[in-house]
Amino acid sequence: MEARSYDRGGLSIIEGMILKDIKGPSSLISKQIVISAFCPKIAVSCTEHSKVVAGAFGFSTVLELFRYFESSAVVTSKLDVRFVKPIHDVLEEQKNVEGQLRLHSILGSGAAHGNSFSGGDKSFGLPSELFNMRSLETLANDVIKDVDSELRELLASEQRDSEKVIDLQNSIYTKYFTKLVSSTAPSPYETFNHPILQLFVASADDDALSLKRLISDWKSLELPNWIDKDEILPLAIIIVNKNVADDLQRGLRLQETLKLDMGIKSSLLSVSVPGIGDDDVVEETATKLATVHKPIFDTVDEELNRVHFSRPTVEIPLKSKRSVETFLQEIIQNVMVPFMRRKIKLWTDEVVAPRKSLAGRLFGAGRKWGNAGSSSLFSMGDNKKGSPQPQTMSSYNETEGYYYAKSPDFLIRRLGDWSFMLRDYKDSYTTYELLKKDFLNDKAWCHLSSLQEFMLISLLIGASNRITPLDVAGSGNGITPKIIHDLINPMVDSIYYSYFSRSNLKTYTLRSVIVLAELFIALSQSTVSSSTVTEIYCGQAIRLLRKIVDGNIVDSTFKGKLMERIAYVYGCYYRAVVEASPPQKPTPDPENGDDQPIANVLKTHYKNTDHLGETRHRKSALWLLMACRQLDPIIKPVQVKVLLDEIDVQIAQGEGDPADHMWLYRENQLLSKLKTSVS
Amino acid sequence: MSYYFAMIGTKDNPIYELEIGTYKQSGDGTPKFPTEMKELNPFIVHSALDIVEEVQWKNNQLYLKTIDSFYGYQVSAYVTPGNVKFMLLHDVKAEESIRQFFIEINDLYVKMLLSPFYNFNESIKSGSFDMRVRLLAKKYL
Repeated sequence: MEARSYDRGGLSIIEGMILKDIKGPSSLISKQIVISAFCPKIAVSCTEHSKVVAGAFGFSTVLELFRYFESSAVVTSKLDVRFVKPIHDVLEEQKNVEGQLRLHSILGSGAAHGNSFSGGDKSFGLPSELFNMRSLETLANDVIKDVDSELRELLASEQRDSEKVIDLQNSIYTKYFTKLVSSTAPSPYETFNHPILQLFVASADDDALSLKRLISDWKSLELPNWIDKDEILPLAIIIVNKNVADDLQRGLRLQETLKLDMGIKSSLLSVSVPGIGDDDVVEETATKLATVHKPIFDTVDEELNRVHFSRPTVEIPLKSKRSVETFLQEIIQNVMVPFMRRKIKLWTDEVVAPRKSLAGRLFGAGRKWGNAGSSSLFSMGDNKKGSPQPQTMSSYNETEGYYYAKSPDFLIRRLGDWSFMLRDYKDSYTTYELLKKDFLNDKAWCHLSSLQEFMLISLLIGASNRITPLDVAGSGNGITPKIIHDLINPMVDSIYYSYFSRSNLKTYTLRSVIVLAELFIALSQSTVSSSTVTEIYCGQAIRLLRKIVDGNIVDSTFKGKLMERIAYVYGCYYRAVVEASPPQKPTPDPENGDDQPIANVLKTHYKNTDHLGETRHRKSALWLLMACRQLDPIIKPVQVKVLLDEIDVQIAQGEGDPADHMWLYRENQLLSKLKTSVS
Repeated sequence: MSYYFAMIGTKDNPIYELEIGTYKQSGDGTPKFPTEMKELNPFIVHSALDIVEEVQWKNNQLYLKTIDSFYGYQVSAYVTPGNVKFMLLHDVKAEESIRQFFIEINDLYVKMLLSPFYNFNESIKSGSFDMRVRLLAKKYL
């Protein structure tokens, strides 16, 4: 299951540190998923000959082959990357999936003007959502079906493996959460899904012409105005087969031709291709095999189709695995990261530094005053508002609701995103902050929401990174109640309003709110010293999750799972504090002359009040009950059964004996009704 | 307007429960909770005990005011010196009248405790107690 697959990414260490809970996975896992999901994307195009090479390994394309190395690349290079389809293909797919790509104007004026499908230029409009909500709902039900079939067997067996039940149950929410953040759809509001590298993969059997054609086709692509092709670094890769004697020579010749004719830099990937080459070597490579795992972050549609990654693991020759791993690591460390750092430095010097300087601020003010719409003195009679020409004073296209890719505002946004991807959260936060006023002035609401979303994510990840879950001393993380009240809450409300109410972008709303909630839970779990702060973080997470539950954004299955998550957060209340100092009854010590305890039933029962009022297990039981009702015992009896068992556990934690809690199990009440229907 | 009143003992056990509607604004005293809410009432009150346990240490008053809310419904609480909790689930905010109601109920409960036929934490089955609670509900709620 999903929970198992994270072990490869080093998450087993995190899992080992935290307690397992049937109501959901730890938010430290969710935090790691967020960090890994918003990572640099590398687009991969390949020639027909290179597909043959990939086919020899059992994959249909080189992209698919590379994707099975995403987890390995993470481990080796300490920076997550994801391999994606070329951006043009992704845009085309989006268009096909949605039937027709509707123009999404922030102001709602684009459709009214009949500009649908213009999207700034050429044939692309603004993509509306990150993924198809219906697909997510279908997937949610499919996942539960799969898990339930395994759970049913486990629950029926006499020796119930509770660890496995917990793992299976937790894998459902983990999967939902992973899907929320794993969309690769390019967005005009942020640049996380705009590829940084474009790989053109050829084999030594290819001639220079086919590779040239591949590259020139890409160069001549017409992309929307909000995607800057110049900021994507093209890189050619030539795969040579170690098993074939003259393959390396041919590869080198192709590399030379590319360099001389087109000035394109290329790298050689030398692998042992199974089944192709000299018989002795092929046999040797076939004997030593290693396993590569399916990528964690496949999109909703990929998961639903189950075409690409039907196999959770694939065995390939050990030598080839090592070669590809090392090669990808080198690409990431020696090409991509230096390229990103160079660009960040360049943009900081060219765009950010002048903005921060005194002169820049003065000119910036002048630019704004001079560009205050048609009423401006300077623009009188020359109103280009809404014109798709990048040469206009404003970098924002109000009609269609996007910023031109080369505009300073969008460059700064990209700069912030790249800093975020390189895990420099402090830098990304300060960079994003520069744009806030501009987006507000331009009334670019979705851009503003996206900006605020990532400002908050940067803030919360940065804060939770400051202390570790094992830091018992707990020096604090800087997220004080005042910051939550004055800064975070207004921003969250603004994000929700702009995404959901203004623009009806359900997937963006869902992603932003749930990610922020998870980060708050992560903060609460990492703060073990102060119960007040933990309470505030948990309360904030619950508030955010309830926004989604109450907003009717998701279907009943997802809503049920979110209710279960709320129950989990209530279960987390002060857990760290309570478990760090378990209540101890003073025991008499006979050696010191203390008498042995006398069993006296009339004596006042010892009651530990150390943590009275610091737990929320009753609240947790209520939300589990709500989740049960939402999931419906007729449709998902196994899920409801698991949750009902957990409700019993939560109720039993209260004061008194089981007989005292019988009022909650009365016949005409919900709990009893649910128990009857599942039995 | 509908009310769900419960007196919860020290072991999370209910010692008295009453569902009642208002007599004000031409109400006939019949509770009008929606079905999906009616079956959740005890659980909402039960979950609010978590908050009572927290608030009772921060407040030296017996009446804790509105301590919790759940989809438009509010829970008001009163803690007796013997740690018995009076919980009232209601949909309209009427702090002063609820306070008066709780105080009078407390008087009734103290009288009940004085009865030699009643033990602490046991459920109250007295018909006269029930009638008096209903009268108080009619008067204040």
